Amino acid sequence: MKNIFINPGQLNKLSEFLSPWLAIISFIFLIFGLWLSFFYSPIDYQQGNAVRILYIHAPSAWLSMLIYSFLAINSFFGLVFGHVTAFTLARAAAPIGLTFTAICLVTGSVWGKPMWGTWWVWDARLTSVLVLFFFYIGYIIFLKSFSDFTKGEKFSSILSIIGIVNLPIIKFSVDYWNTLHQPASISKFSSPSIHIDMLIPLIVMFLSFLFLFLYILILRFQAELIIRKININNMKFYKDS
Amino acid sequence: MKSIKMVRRRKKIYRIISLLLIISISLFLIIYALRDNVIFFYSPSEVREKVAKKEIIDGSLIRLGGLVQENSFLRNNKSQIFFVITDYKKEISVVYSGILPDLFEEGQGVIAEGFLRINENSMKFPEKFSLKKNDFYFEAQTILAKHDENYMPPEVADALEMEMNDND
Repeated sequence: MKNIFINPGQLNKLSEFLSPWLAIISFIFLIFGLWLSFFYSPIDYQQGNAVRILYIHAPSAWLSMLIYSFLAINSFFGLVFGHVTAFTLARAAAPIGLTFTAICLVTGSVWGKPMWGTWWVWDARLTSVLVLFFFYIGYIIFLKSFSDFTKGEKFSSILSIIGIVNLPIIKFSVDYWNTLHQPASISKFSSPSIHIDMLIPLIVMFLSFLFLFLYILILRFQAELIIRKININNMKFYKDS
Repeated sequence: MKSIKMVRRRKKIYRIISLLLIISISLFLIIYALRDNVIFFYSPSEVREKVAKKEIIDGSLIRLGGLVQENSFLRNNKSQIFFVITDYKKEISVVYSGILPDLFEEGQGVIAEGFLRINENSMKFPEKFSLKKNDFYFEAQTILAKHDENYMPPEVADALEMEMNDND
C-alpha cells in the first residue's frame, strides 16, 4: 500500500479503475444538487433568488483553497522525497484549482453587483483570493518556463509552498479585519447561521464539485504521466545527438 | 547508520520550514505595519477617535461602516437621502444623493465611501437629526450594502421577528 505513493504506475492503474466511478458519482450529485438549488431551495429573506449563486460560489471557493493545500503538500513531498507521483499530482491539480478560483471570483462579482452595489472592492478577503489566483498562475508559468522540466518542477514547488501562508489569511481575513465580505456562515463555533434547506444544496454541490475535481485530477494525472515520458525521451534524444 | 540520503532529506525539510517561517514572520510584520490600510472601513467610534487625534480631518476621503439606525432614513424633495450610521456606541449622520443598493435597509449593515465634513451652517440637515454646529457629518459618494452571514427563507425570518416581538 505504501508503494502506491511512490510508484506512479500503480496509481495509474488504480486511477483507470476509479475514473468511471468518480465521474458517475459527481454527475449524480451534480444533477441532484442543481435540482435542489433551483427548485428545492427557498429564496433568501433579503437576497431573494440571488442566494442561488451561493451554491456555486461557496463550493468553488472551498475547493480553490483545498486544491491549493493539496498542491502545496504534494510539492513538499516531491521536493523532499523526489517522488514522481507527488510532482505529477501537483502538476495535474494546478489548472483545476485555477479554474475553481476563477469561478469563485466571477460568481462572487456577479453576486456583488446587485447585493453590495459593486463588482469589486479591494477588501482583505477579495484581495487575498485574487492573490491565490496569481499564485496558481505563477505555479503554472514557472512549470513551463524551463527547458529542463525537472528544474521547473523544483522552482514551482518552492513557489507553491511559499503561497501556503496565504491560506490562513484568506480564511481569517473576514474575522480579523473589517471587510465588505460577510464572515463565514458554516465553520462558526456556534451553530451554522444558514438555514438547513439552504445548507443541504450547498453540501450536495460541494460533494459534486469535489468528485468532479478528483475525476479531472486522475484524468490529468494519466495525461501528465504520458507527457513526462515524452519529455524524458526528448531529453535523452537531444543528449545523444 | 544514517545514509547520506536521509541527511539530505532532513536538510531539505529544515530548509523548507525555515523558508516558511521567515516568510510568515515578514508577512506578519508587513500586515501589522499596514493594519490601518488593510481594514476596509472605520466604524463611527473609530472615526470619532481618529478625529480627536487629528488623523482624520475635515474633507478626508474615508469609508465609514456600521448599521443604518432604525427610523433615521429620510428623503427630501431634492432627492437627497439622510440617515445615521451607528455601531451602537457612536453615530454619524450621512447625506447621500444617488442610487441605493438592493440590500439597503434600516437596521442593516452599510458602508459609505465619501468625505467627512464639519458642519459650519452651510449644510441643512432635517430637524430630527439634531446636528450641532461644528459637529461633523459624512458626505457619501457611494453606498455599499453589507450583507451579514445569515441565510434563511422569508418565512423563518418572519417567525424569528414574531418571536422577538413576543419576548419584548
